[in-house]
Amino acid sequence: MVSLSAVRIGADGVLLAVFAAAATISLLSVDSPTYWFPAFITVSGTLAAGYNLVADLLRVRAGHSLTEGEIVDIGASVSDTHDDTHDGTGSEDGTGSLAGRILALSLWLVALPLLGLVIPFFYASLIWLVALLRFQAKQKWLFVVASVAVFGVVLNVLIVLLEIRMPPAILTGLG
Amino acid sequence: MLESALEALQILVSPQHVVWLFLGVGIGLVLGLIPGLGGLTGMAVLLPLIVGLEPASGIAMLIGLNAATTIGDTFPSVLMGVPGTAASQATVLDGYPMARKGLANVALGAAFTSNMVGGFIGGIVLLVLIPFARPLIVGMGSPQLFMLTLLGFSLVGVLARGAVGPAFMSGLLGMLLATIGSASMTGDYRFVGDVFYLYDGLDLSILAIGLFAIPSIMSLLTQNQSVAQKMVHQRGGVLRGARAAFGHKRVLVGNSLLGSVLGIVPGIGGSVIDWITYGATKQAVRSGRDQFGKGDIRGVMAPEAANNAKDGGVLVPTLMFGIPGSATAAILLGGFATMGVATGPSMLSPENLYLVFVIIWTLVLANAIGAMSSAALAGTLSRISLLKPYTYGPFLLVIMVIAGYQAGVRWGDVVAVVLIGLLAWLMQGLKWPRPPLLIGFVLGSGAENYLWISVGRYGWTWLTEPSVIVIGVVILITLTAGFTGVFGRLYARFAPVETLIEPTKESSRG
Repeated sequence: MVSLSAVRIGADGVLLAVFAAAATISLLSVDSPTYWFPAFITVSGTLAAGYNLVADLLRVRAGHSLTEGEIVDIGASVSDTHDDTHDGTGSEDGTGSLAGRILALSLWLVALPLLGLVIPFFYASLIWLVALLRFQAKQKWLFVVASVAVFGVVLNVLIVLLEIRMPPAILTGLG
Repeated sequence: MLESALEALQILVSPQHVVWLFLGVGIGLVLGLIPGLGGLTGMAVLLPLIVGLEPASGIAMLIGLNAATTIGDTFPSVLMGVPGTAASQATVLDGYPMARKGLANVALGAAFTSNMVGGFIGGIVLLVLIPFARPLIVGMGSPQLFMLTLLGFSLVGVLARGAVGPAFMSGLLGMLLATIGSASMTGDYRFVGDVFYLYDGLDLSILAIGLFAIPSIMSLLTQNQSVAQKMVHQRGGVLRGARAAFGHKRVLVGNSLLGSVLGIVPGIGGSVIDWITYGATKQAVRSGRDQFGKGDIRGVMAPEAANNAKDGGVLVPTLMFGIPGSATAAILLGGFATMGVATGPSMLSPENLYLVFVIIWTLVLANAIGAMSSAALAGTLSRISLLKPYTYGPFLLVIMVIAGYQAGVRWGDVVAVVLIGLLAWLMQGLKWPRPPLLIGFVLGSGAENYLWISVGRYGWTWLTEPSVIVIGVVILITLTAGFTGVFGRLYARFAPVETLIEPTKESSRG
């Protein structure tokens, strides 16, 4: 299994490549004022990304993990655990590995817009919710049906009151 | 002047106007509660409804909505770690860790008290500054505004907590993202390739939802654990939070004043003001600085007080010169025009002065009503932190995707929200700081525009202006502090040990 440190080194490299490419584009067009500010940003970014890549490589070489230690971040994290529970590798109901659940949820998230491509988004979101709650979260049918029905009504009220627009199903032309 | 103030109060407390105010506050609270739908959406929707209303009623509804949104957005920020609006991101930093400790109701109590006091001080600042605002606003040229954006960016170093290199890289990535699309000064397209969606550039709300809201909910669903296992204070937690807030008067008043003053500067919106005040408070506190980010009540109070106080500041240029200080102020201006209220220096003429007082009273009353209503709900709603994430998380994901779509009403918005959400989740896993990316994005376009105008108008001579030099020195000090942590070390060396320990305990317990 690839370690997170290796993934981070790879991501450092990708970011360095992105900044370097953007810097090249900006510097080649720097005679146009359009690229003055981007040139400043991208050259600084290339230097910062290069510094980070080298610093991370040195830390890994010295035997340190790159994904330990504190940074300023906000919101919930997969590494959050309560002090008196377990080590954060399994969910409270004990189903599946952490990596497996992350992959499964990522695919569920991607599935929502994919479903919305063929079914009008309002209905797609309700179907998606039923499927996720029943098959991924393994909730009881009673909870699934009741909660999704209530959500559907509330969402519909919001759509009407706030004139919220919904994505059309562009593959089928519905919605 | 006193007559106008009393006349405005009489108008505002008449049953008809109170109903409009309550309606605005009610809608604002609901919009704040739903992540992704901010006051901008609500005001845009309400704008057609105020046609034909008396100015005082329309103003009461619009300002009530705007003020209450920044109160309601505290709920998701604290209870789920999901910023309710782009202006409540810094609140998550300490609010969510407090919720994890079972102190959600205490954090909410402190936040709503800060909202109310901030709104009150913002109203006072508006009242006091309107006659004196002209020199301040006129003195703020493009060079000063450019330097202020750099000052905002330099706070990335203060917020980095050691990881200064990755934080600046993240901030620069945000600035790079801000340059995608059409250059506002030349109209040329940059970094768009053949992707039609990128021609308009990325939208702030899409980036905010993707960067913070989606990863937070995905993490909660992955863990499938409630945010907190039990509430530390089953009863009286909200009151405890309110008392704790009044115990930190300097944080409360200082950030309210700072928020008001920053609000006056056009272009610095709530999404930057909350970070600036958070960073400034972290630098300014004498003790327990290392507790920031781990559930320090002062970290909740600072952005919340500033966020509501800024509404008063934003109204200074809006009313005095017709210059909208923010996007919501622009819609507010449209509302004033719809009701036949002319903004500008004529607002201070004797026949219009009562309207200025209507606005001030509305601001103060809306904050009080919004904060008290939220405090009444806080005890019940804070129990959300005890629920399993699958009872609310999937529904929020759907709402976030729909909210993202409202940014440009294009399918690309949906794709962008999901893509940025997954990439930001990866960033979180790789310990790449995400807040600097958003700060860089918000400040990027402003910095470019101000630099462009400064160089175009003054050449490089603006660099020698005294105000520019002063802000430059402050930037250097901030950068030095960020890179070296020198102030923290100096204080730790000279401060008595007991003062470092006592307030920390108190602050985290509320």
